[in-house]
Amino acid sequence: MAQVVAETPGSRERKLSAGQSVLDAQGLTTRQINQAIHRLIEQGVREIEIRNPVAQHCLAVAIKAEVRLHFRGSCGWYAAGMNDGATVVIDGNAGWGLAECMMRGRVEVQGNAGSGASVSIRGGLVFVRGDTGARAGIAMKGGVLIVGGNVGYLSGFMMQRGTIIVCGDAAEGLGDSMYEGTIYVGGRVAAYGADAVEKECTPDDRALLRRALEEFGIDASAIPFKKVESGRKLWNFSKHEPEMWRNAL
Amino acid sequence: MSTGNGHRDPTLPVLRESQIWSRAVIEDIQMKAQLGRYRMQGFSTHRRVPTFDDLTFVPCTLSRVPLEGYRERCETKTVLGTRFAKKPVELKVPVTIAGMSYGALSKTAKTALGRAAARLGISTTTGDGGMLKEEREATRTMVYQVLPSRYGFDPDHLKMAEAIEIVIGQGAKPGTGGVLLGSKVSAVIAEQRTLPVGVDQRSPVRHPDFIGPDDLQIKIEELREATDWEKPIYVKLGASRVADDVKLAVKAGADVLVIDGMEGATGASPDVLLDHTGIPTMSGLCEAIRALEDMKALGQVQVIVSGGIKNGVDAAKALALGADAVSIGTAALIALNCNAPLFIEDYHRLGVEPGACHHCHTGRCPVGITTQDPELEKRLILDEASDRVFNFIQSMVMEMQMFARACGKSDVHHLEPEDMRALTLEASMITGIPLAGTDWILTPDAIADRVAARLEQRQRHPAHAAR
Repeated sequence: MAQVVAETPGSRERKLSAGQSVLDAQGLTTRQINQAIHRLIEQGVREIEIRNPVAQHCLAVAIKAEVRLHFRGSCGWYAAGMNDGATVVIDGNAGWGLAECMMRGRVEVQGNAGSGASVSIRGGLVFVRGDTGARAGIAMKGGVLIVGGNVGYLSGFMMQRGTIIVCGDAAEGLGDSMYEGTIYVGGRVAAYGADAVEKECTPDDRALLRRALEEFGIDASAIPFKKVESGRKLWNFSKHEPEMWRNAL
Repeated sequence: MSTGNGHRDPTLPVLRESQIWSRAVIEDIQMKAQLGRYRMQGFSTHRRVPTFDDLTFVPCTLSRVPLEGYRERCETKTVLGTRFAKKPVELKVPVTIAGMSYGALSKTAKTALGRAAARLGISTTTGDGGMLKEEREATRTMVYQVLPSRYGFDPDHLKMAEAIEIVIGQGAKPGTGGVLLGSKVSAVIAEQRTLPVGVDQRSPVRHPDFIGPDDLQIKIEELREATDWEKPIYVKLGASRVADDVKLAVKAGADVLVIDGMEGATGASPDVLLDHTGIPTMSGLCEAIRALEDMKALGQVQVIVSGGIKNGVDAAKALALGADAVSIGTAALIALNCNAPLFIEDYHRLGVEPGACHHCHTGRCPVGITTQDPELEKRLILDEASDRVFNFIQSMVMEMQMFARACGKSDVHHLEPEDMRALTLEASMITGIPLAGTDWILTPDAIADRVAARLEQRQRHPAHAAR
């Protein structure tokens, strides 16, 4: 870690050399933390370590800059929501709506994430080393979600594009009503959702998984991944599939 | 029509039709027997429900002094979002254009609405599918909707808007998600929404990242943080359990509530939802105002009401009942040319007549409004369409001012319930406004008060006291 070279008067910000800063968030409000992050970015800081985030909600939302934010602790709901270019690392856990609607960038959580992780992202990468709650990656429109552990109920629901990789188990309703996109699951699937179809992994799929997981220290070859895609039977209504549509409509 | 022996000709059609198995019911059953599903339609409910038409103004006579109709000023400026936002929205008149998606509407229609709104100093609203560049360029004040689908959602667009509207539901079909049938999911629309071309798009009803009111509070905080607390946050509710919903939305931190009644329209919906869900606009508005009064938040949180607002009269009555502004959707489309008697052969191809077309969901709009077909869209001439919307809303404003002046008010926002009487018992009970010709207010509390007052009178009556 670089040496402390200055401290902003009246704040918890410590500027480090080479465009780095430390922000002690202890006792600060969400508003104060986010304002401090924006101020440092405007000053040209490209790496910010945030200490004591104490699981506050809505931290580092809608950051449109190629910066690295490292939270030394857990974050609450909507951490890195609407992220557009930043790399956000969370040493602890994250609440609901992690990185929701992200456009670009990278979000890594070393612990677990709550429900709705990576929902509706259009690009970028979300990595959760532990488990996620329900509805992980629903309505994803692009990008990649990697979960080292298990995912909860209805994950991948109405997925539109992108890739979800689950190294552990998936709860009921996986991939329900997905339009497009691909889900890989390494463990047990409690039950697939409507129109989610299990397929064999091809050599290309295995190569993709190896590349995606090796940077996180996960050996893809040791995990028996299966692939899940849309059966495309719910794309347009058919009165000849009454059972499927009774559940889907 | 006699057979010559004085008897009715038995070959004449039978006129006695069943009230249960009417022609409409028979047609409905036979259509569903073909389709194998519920029926879809655009537009709004066909039902007669209690509306603002059931109220009348009681302008100034001897007991009040009116303003000169064409000489004395009557203000219309409207400010929305004064509770928490650093930059509240200022409108020149209390009218907004409701959220309608590019996808449901053509690009020309959205752009025409934007141009008209800019000239009028009012706002337009995005819809499912996100912000259309042409509309953003045309309009000055844009409300950016945050919808459950998040189709086309872009934080840059969120920051470009003047206000944010979190859509919890819509009046036409509260509790259900949007629909865009495959015929309207063109290559352009599909790309904007990240969907396969031609797919029947069924939007989710629940937001992906929050569910209940406590969650909403944090979601609002996130949107404020994302926009530096500058922009007002509207929460749009389909009128259902309005009192509870309003209280929860206010507690969650909304700046503005949009109450959308069951007369609200949509581009596509199962028809049974349009006719059998939600409560009327007038009822929803009254419930919302009472809920805000209960919370002592009236004036602090502004109310926009929508759903079947068809002219300045409805708007004036809504303001008198406590709304800060009205929002129009269908009326603006009709001003554009919806249901105009043009290209009649194309209406006939849809099996409808101009004036009774509700086939927005097909994408075959004969006048180029609710279509993605480039040939049909050419029928809507941008400049002319924009002028018509401008003229129509201008007429609404003049009507609002006319009623306000006649009631002695120098600001349309000064209209109040006391300026009106109810024409039906239903309207009286819903609004708490006396039935015309009486001073009765038929609400349970008022009835109880009146009964108590009469009992007290009887107790004091000499004949009673003598016993």
